[in-house]
Amino acid sequence: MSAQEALKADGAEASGVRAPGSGSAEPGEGAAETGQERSRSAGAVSARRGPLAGRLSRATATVLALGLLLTAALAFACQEVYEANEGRLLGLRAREVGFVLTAAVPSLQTPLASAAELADSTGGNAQKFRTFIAPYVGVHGEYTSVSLWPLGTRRLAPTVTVGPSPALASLPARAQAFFAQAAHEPKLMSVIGLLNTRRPGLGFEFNAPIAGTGFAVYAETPLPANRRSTHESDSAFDDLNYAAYLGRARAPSALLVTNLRRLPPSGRQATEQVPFGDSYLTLVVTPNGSLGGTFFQSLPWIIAISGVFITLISAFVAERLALGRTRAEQLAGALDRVASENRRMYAEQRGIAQTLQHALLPDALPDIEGLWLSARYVPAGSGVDIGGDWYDVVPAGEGRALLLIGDVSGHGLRAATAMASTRHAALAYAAEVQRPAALLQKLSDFLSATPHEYFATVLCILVDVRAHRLTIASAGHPPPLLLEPGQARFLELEPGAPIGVRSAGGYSELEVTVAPGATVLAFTDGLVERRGEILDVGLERLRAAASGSEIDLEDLVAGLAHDLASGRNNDDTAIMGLRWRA
Amino acid sequence: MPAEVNLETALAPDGSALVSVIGEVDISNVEILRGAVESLLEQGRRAIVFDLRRLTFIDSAGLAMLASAARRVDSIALRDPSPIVRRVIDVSGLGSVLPIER
Repeated sequence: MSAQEALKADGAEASGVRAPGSGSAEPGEGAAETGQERSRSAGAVSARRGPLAGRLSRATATVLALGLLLTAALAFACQEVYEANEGRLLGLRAREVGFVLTAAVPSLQTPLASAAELADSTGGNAQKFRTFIAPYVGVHGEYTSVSLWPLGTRRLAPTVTVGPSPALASLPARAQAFFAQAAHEPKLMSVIGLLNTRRPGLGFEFNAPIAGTGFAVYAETPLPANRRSTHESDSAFDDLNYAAYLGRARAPSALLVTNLRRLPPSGRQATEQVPFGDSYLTLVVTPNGSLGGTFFQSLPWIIAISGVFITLISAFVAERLALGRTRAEQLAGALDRVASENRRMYAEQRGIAQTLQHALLPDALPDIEGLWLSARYVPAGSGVDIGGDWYDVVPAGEGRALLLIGDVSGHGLRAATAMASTRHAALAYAAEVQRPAALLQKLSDFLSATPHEYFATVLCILVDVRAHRLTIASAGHPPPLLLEPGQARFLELEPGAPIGVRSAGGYSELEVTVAPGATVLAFTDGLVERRGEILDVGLERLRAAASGSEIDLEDLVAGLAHDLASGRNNDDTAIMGLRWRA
Repeated sequence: MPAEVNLETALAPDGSALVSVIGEVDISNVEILRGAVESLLEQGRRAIVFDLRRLTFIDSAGLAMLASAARRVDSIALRDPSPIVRRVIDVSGLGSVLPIER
């Protein structure tokens, strides 16, 4: 079922419920029904969400797109900052490592320099050399072997060796070149890489500053097999992986030691070169994990996930709001339809009410010999309600007639049905009794027997046509107006209580003899009653309007109904006139 | 346009109630008056005086309501009705049912 169909069905349901109460007498009830109808419609609308949930609203899509875009941008920016920071930190770490290595060089150089000085000053005394250098050699020392080489000899060879025979001793050509080179750099440790030999290692030389003569001290230290570092983690630098090369180039042949699994290193890396004797060490470091800490590493992800989460919540809220608005619009539409339906039914009810009202009034007044009769009924100026006014003329035989005019308090169906029963009761009693006071008393006894919330004012006039005589009794009804040539007066009499009000007092009668051609106007209070003015003002207005005119009874009654009653009142009005033909 | 009415109810220790009716009473708002009377009856008030000094208009529905209330209490009286209201009551023949307090 589409939303529109559902709304239509809902409207039909509402009118189905509304209809039985539509003729209600009470405006209050009508209002309550309208309220129920509204809540019914609201319920029906809110129960229907299927068709709306299928597609996201534009607002939601916008929120979603903007949120995701912003999240991506933030996460990207954060990642960039993180990368830059990691790079900077790695550079700093590489320099730290460089400083540490630089600081380590003297501990390699100093024993050699001291040994060279000792050899020079003792003329190469083997015993003293051995005694001095022994602590530096072996498992706990810096070197595996240290040897003393006299310079300036024809055949270059060590004279004293502590530890195993140095590898360089078996490479006379390289030894020759190395020592020749080293002689140029006295007071500075010379370094040679013995990397492609059976036992790869590093050689260090220090010679006294007398060029070409004296002694050179030469030490060797081995490199780990395959150049793999035996110490995988070092407490100060365990966040770094490294590769160390001898010299300024990162040639694989110059690799001294590394803990990297793969060379050359990939990814983020920093290179640092530090002086190492007369050579250099080139260090390549890569981070082992995140240098700035895992939080900053995760921050882009945290931002991304939070952003997506917040975006989804926002989108959900936006969708709810959009949905609410759509529903409100639908509800407004539904209410609009209900309102127009109400307007239509209101007009229909008004039509029904007026039709009913006229059905309850006599189609035509009977012909009474010697009298003209005329009557008008004017519905209330506003509202759909049926009024409670009615009139009747009943022939009573022997040239007589009973005129009845009444007004049931209230409006609507209840007043109309009360009016109908009062009227029919009056007609029934009129056939039985003709004295107006007796008729009203019977009517009152009959209608006061049952408890109810309305009353009826009734004026009963017995007309004796030939005798020109009126007998009048009133149950709380406004007095009739008598028009005679030259004068107009109200036939005031002591009114009894309205019909339906239990009262101790009975009904009195007023008997009046009238002039030939006299006119009597009986009416209900709608003709004379105005809010904020005393009844006498209205009565006087009627008297002034009715007196002194020579026009037909028909025109007089129609004119008064039009001038004094039409559309001015919230009350309906009945007016009935009789005139003696002679 | 619905008429405007305000009611002020005072309860006396002797079990009577004084209801001041201010404004207009007609078919559109007579239920307000009826509600007040029902409430007094529920409280067991058997004597009601309606102060009509500031009642400017009453239609037949309002009078019918007062007449119906008169049947259900032990005593009812109208205090100081304006001439307009007094005239309507007189014409309606309700003087005996709705006595005007002297």
